[in-house]
Amino acid sequence: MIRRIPSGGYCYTIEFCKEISRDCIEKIHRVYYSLLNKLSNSFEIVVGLTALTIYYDPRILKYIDLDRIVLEALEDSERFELSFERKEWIIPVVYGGEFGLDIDSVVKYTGLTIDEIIKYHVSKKYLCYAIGFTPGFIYLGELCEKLIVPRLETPRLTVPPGSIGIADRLTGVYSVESPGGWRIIGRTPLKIFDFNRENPMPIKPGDIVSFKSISIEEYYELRDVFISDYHG
Amino acid sequence: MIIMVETLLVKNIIGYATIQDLGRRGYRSIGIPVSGVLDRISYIYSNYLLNNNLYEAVIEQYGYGEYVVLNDTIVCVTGGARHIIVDDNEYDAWKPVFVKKNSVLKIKPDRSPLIYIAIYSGVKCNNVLNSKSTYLRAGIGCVRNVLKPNDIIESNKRVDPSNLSLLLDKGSLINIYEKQIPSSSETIILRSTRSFHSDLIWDIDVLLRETYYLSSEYDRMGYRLEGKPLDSTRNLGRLPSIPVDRGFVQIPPDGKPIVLMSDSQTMGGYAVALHVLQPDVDRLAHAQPDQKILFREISFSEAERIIEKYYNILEKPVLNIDIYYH
Repeated sequence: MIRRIPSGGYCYTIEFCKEISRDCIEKIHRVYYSLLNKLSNSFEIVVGLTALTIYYDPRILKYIDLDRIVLEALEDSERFELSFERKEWIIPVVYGGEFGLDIDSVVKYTGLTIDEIIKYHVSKKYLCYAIGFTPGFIYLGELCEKLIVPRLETPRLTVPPGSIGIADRLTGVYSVESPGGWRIIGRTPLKIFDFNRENPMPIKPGDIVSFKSISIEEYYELRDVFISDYHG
Repeated sequence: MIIMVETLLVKNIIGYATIQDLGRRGYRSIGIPVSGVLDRISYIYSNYLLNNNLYEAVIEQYGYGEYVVLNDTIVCVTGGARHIIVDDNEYDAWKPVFVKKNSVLKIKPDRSPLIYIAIYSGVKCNNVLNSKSTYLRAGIGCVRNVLKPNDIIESNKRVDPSNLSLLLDKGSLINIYEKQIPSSSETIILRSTRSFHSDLIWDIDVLLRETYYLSSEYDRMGYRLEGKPLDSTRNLGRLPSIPVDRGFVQIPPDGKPIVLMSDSQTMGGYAVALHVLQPDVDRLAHAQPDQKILFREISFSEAERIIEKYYNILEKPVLNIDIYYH
């Protein structure tokens, strides 16, 4: 059941589902790209894990009119395939050691060895579900069943930039330093987010991201290379 | 030709001060908070009274501040200050004041510690993603940190002395101060609409009935309130992250509301009970610990009307803004 919730006089949220799932997020992406085509730049649209929100100016369009456009987009998304091009990205990662702050606890939870954890983590191509909470944080799904672990009981106050975390059915990339409660299994040397660029974050919802295990030496060679300049 | 004029030297800040404007728009989809001033009305009027471009960057000072004037300029102080002191002489706030080179400005809280200091022609510094606002948590902004002693604030232009009377013509707007800045004994009313999880929060009536108080935990990201906790969120656990914004009232498992402010993260996993209207977030920003706060529900169409009026004032401020408060 899709719910449409206006709030605050300028905010309109569409809830697609109650639980995170691949089906649900793909539907959200279809509607997101359809709305990007239908609405001008003066609307800001943000993808969440089970919902998307449109921030609008009620002087340009009232909720009632926006609602009509949203219903259209919802219908379109049933009929048409995804109207955007998925990009593929590869993120090199040093797993474990000083960079995989929580890999030992993941070993304990899963009963896997570190090599197995790496094998399962790099074996999938992930869908970029959403970006946010902090600048450039990437939510990726779905994680291999064998790697499902709970969040940390007490979140860290600072997670180093580039950290790769796992929690529940998702894996994610902390693009900038921030607090965080996901279990950290490795770190990428790449710069994923650069606010000095016109496009600080080239990865978009709906893109495909995979990981590649690299050595410490490679880590230092690739340090601070911007994600767009890395071609695996 | 790039001109810049060294205008103010920071001498001492008790509390903190940052450079802010209306914030970064269009980047929430990649996780960048809007940031920007906490009280947009006080901010707009600081530039308006100076005949500046309305969206020039200003100093947002939370607490007490002292500055040395490095070059003749005009300042306009708004927000919670009633007066400014220039070399031991007192002048009205909410009014442009011409200050001469080498004088010392002392700006202290009166009704509230949240104060805006606009300088003639605006604070000069480079935009980061179309804004000069400081987002402290990620070190984003033209100045990436809080202002510190010996920092120099530059402005875009020198004051032309022959123009002075023209520049000072707007006069005093202390009547806006009276309405916009709540005194610490006032109960701040937060007009709010229902929001994302209102249906899930079966005891939302408690939130709309009881009096809440600002806790001692509040910053540019969120204001935590004390008061009767809601039971409904205790067992909700973690919810899937959804987009959130300034004015969202989150209820974490402890049941105590958090009102998200200008540095709000772009997504959150707590239950969202209500959405406070933006003009009331501006006033809440001035609240002090233990100050009384009441939520009052309004309909969505009423909210739209209020937001229209609010956006109009932010684009075209007027001297008589009584209509805005009614």
